Amino acid sequence: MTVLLFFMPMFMFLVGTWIYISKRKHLMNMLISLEYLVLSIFMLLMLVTFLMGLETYVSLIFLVASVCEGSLGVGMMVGMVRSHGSDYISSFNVLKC
Amino acid sequence: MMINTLMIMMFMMNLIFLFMFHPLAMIFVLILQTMLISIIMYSITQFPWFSYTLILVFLGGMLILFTYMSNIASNEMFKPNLKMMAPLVLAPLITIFMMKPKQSLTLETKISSSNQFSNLMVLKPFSEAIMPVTLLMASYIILTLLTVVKISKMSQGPLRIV
Repeated sequence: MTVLLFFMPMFMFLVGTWIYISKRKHLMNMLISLEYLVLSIFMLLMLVTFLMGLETYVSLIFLVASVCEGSLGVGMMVGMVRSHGSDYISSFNVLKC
Repeated sequence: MMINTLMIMMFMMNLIFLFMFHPLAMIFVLILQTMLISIIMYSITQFPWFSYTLILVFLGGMLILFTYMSNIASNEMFKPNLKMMAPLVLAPLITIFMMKPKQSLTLETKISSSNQFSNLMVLKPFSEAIMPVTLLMASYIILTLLTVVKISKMSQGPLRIV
């Protein structure tokens, strides 16, 4: 049971990485898959620290840092949408004035 | 029994996430995953504080941002995909084959739930040893807030959609 319990967030990590590298249409897909990775690492961190008897507050520190990263990513996406018109990745190398 | 169902559902959500291409659909799967992880965390650690924090952060905070952005910036149809039916059948089968019966995690949870001071564990971030880290996180959040406001105000006016 512990094996299955550890398998779940590890598989989630792999799925998040797969989506991060394979979706090529929107920038939004990439940001959402980063949040998916955050969720999987949060669960893994909490499991490992709890089942070893350590302090689980570490996962909360990680969550704070990742929330800040997510919001910064959305802010940058707002800037990109303002300058390129939409969040299509294929339009990022089209030069426009 | 409940943790088995939760494991099956989480595995199914994982596989369904692979077939998603629209940002709004991915956000929906992310919300469901957050709920499942919160319930699993509560049933393992018997300490609901982390579940509350996770739900507050993911539901109330970032996903509203992302939903707003997706409503503005995407223009795609949701197409039903026949290959999405495969996880619904495969996930329970694979999970059942991987599970061993009669193994529970209650040995570890008896330590924390039988303590009469377990309600005071919420005060742990504010103890002498870890208070600087909590203050660092708070100041990091404030700094990020100011930075995001500065980034988003770079041009005047609303977002332009071509």
